[in-house]
Amino acid sequence: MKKSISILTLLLVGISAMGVGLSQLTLSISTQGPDFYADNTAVQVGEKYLLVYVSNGATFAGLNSDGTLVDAVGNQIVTDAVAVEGAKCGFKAIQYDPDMYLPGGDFIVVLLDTRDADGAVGGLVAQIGTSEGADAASENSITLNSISVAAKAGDDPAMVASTFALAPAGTQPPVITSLKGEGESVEIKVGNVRALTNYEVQSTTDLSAGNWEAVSGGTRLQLSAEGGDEIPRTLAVPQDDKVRFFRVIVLGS
Amino acid sequence: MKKILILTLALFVVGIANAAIQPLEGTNVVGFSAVVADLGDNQIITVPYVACLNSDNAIFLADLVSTNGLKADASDPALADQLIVMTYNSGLDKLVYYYYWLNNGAGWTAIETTLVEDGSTTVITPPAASAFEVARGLGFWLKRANGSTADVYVKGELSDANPSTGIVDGLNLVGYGSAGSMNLTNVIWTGADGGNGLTTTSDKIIVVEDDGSLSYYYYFTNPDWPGAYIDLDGMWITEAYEVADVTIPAGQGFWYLRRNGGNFNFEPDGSN
Repeated sequence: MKKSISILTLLLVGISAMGVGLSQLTLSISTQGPDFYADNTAVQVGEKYLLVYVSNGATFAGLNSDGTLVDAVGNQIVTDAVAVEGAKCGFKAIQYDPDMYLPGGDFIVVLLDTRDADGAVGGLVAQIGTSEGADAASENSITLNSISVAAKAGDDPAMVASTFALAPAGTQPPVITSLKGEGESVEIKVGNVRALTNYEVQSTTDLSAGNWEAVSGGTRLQLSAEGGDEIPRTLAVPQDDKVRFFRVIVLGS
Repeated sequence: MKKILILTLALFVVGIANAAIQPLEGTNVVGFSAVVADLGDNQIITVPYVACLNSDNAIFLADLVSTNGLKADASDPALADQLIVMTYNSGLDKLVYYYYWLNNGAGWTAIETTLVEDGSTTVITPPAASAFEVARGLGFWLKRANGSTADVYVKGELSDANPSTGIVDGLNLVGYGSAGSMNLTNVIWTGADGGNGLTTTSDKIIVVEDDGSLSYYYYFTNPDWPGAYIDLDGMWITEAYEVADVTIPAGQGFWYLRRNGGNFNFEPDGSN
């Protein structure tokens, strides 16, 4: 009777075991922060992180501006996570079948900079930062696996999104279709654009010097939806400008 | 004289009354056990007790581990001590991991786990720690956050029932469901598989030591081996084929790898 009750209790409460066909591994991720964007500002709450699996023999090839992997064969997006207060990746736990991410490969945490022209997160991927790789566990792992990305040294940030995401394949060179105004502000329109690409308006006052700089408010210009052809934008320029030239580039190209 | 006689009689009567009065004992005994779990470590702990006032019944996770002195945080699970349980989910037909973090003011708080499958994800929401029953002999992880300094205690009611822990094929995260420590040499492991004397096929116990290293012990049964091995029959042994005189502290769990022989309940005090 006692043995029957013991077995029944076991079934009711649950079996703490890894039997054939039931095997699962777990992994948790977080960063200790503070993590930063390339312009030295702290990562905003709501910013996105990815957990990526890099297969044995492959390297992490980066992201396209639409958030897809440059190498979708050698790299796999496992899951995403969100930045929380403290400019860090919030704690996230996953579990998976051991056959999905084989030992020999690595897990890395990728910080995304998805700020748009107005500074709000949730746009296209402009830049990324990556952590060191952590070995994928074997099927018979009995350890509790976790990735907690720490600051590299001293006051250095844990992660910095400083590598450009790539423009999707087939992106055409943009063209400025109109320019209005002068003095304190100008309005431009950029054509031959697509929705999944970041554009940047640059200006210079000396064509021969070639010192093009991003115009304030003119970076990370994005179409709101595929199908639109022009990005209108009003940009502030120095009040005492006598001459200024503009061009548009594709970020990550 | 009469006063002395009365006094003596009174004292005699009191003496008889005291001899007859027996203390009324309570119906149960409760206790706590300290578990070695240093900061920054992942330690396997186990359930040595049952719920108060319900001898033989399971205890809830929220009641099992004393939070006094543990590291809590107001908002970040990564900065708090955590409990992680591995258990079978019948709805998903797979093992699942339930994470709980010590939320300052709210106690053990469940964290969702994302089940990643080929082409899809499923969010697994653990039951509340106050509603999650854990049976004696179940093992789970205690993950100490950096900065955790206090001892960890498991607590509950002592049970009169002999400890009994279910084992299935593969890796089992379990413990000895007793408030006392367990020595591998002092118990009878009816049901364990000795692998015909081979450590590569026998049942295996894996203990996580205080420094994070792993120690391995193998169950040995083979009465046909030469005389030197007779004393090993029915014992847990080391890789060097020596008796494993190992004491596992109360409240500490371990891995039990069942390679052959199917499910069984080990009751290591020999009661079965």
